[in-house]
Amino acid sequence: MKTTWTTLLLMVVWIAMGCSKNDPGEDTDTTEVVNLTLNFQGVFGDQPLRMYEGTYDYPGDVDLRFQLFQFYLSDIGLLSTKNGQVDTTFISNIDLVSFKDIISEDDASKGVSISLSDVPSGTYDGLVMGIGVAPEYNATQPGDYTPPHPLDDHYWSWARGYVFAKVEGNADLDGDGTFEEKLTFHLGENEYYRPVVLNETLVIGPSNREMDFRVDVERMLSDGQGNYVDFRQVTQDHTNDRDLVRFMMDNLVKAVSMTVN
Amino acid sequence: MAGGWWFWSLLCRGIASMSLITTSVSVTSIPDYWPGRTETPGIADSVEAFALGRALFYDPILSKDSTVACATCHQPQLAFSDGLAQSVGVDGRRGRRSAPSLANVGFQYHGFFWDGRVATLEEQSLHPFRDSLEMDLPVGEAVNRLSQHGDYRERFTRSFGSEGIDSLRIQRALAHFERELVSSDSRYDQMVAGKINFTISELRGWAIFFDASMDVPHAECNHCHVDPLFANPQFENNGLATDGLNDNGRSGVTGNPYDRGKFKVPSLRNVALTAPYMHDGRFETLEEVLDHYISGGHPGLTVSPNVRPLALDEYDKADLLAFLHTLTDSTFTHRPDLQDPFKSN
Repeated sequence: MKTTWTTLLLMVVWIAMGCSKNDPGEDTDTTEVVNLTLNFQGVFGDQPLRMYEGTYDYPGDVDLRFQLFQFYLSDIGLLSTKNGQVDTTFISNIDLVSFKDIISEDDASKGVSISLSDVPSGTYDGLVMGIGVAPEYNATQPGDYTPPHPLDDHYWSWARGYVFAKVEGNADLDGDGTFEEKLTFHLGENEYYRPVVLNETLVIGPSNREMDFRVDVERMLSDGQGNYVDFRQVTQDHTNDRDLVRFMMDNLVKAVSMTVN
Repeated sequence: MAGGWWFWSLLCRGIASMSLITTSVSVTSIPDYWPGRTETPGIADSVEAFALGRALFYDPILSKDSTVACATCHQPQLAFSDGLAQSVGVDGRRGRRSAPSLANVGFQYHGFFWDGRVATLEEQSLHPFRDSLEMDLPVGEAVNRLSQHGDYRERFTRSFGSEGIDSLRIQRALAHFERELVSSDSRYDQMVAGKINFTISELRGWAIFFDASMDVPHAECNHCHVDPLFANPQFENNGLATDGLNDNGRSGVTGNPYDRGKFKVPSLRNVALTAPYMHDGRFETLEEVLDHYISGGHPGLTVSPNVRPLALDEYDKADLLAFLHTLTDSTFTHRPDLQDPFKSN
């Protein structure tokens, strides 16, 4: 198994200008369609991510526990190159990846899944998706959807937009085993929507119906170069501190990686 | 009192933008930015079924000793709650929890009751019949009574298009009436529709409630109480003291120990009318509720991190209370066709 960490490239402008779009079921290599499952494994560094009782060492001599980690994915598409042109076959509009119910070790090993239907079989050159709620959908509101729907909740009415990502939990700052400091980070607004491309050869067909992803919440909180969200300084943000939100959303892009079998 | 250009411009922007997505609110209309309402299956004549459901809702013959109706615990002047910490059923039997308001219950898609043990409004409507602490009447006996009482046979026939009274029809008629309990004409709704302006205190309370400006303290309310319904579909532990109490809430349904102490997030619409507060009515006033949240609640493994100590002073509390009172909808509580038909006749 190979894990690709650094193949996340921002190609929004290039895609917008150079690619064409296909809806699911349109002609690609073949018209055969399959059900595709996207599996997301949550981790904190090299440990499985569990809500409530999973305890994690964090920079600054802090221990963390989580109660909620979730984020939206928009416009998931499969990329294929033909005659120098990149085609995008969109397979999903909006999904919510939530680790809220990942509590036991068994839960953590299973992760969370998104099931997509009518995905055209074929060999693709990569996958594109937006982390957050794409502006088109962010201009809608929960009342536009009949529950259950990914966009029927997690909405800031006063700001007219969805909360793209939430991290909630508790911190033990003094090492006494009591997680008394409450942490809530809610990130949103169009400025922080992050389209990404994962460059990887993908074969989808009757015997290849799954894709596996790894999501590292530690990587979302730190940039890997010594900079991290210092919970001794900040325990909460609702997209008020723009630099902090940019830091976390940029890191979230790098926290999501595809694992290829 | 905090102020400044940023705060006021933010208020104007937020309110103005909300107004763009709102149509005028009349007594019974549903604003177009609201979620869709659930529908009652199998109702042939909705007007007849509404009237039938209304009669059933207020008729005490549907309790063991004919003293308790749905409306006993869900009174219109109290936004269809009852003002008690624990509701009282037949023979003066006291229930375990406080009766929630039924305002806008038709917009709930799952998780009825404080612990979410029932999936649909139809299913919910028969539970109080079976509960020995509430109406304590077997559904079969309810069917017998209705079959022999007044013009119920004829009304069921008109409502459903064929003869017959059964439990399915009773629950559908009740649910059909309850779906009409729409509260959408509060002072808040009128402000959103651009019909009125908030006072300075209400505006500032609005910003505190929604954490909408860095120029006011944040009350964190909007994480769970999301407009337009001022609720969300989740179950949360809001840090209530549990000493000596024996109510596990949601975990009693799911068996999940991490659901212990979690209860359904209630709507705050008409909250000024629905005291006492919390699932067990432990707080008699809204001021006590605010003091609880300002304290940050009691610690616990499953307590929501959004329940955290708040930096609200007495002025902030007064403004927040002023905003909460804008959620009172007297048009709803006085709507004639939602009142007791046996009294009006």
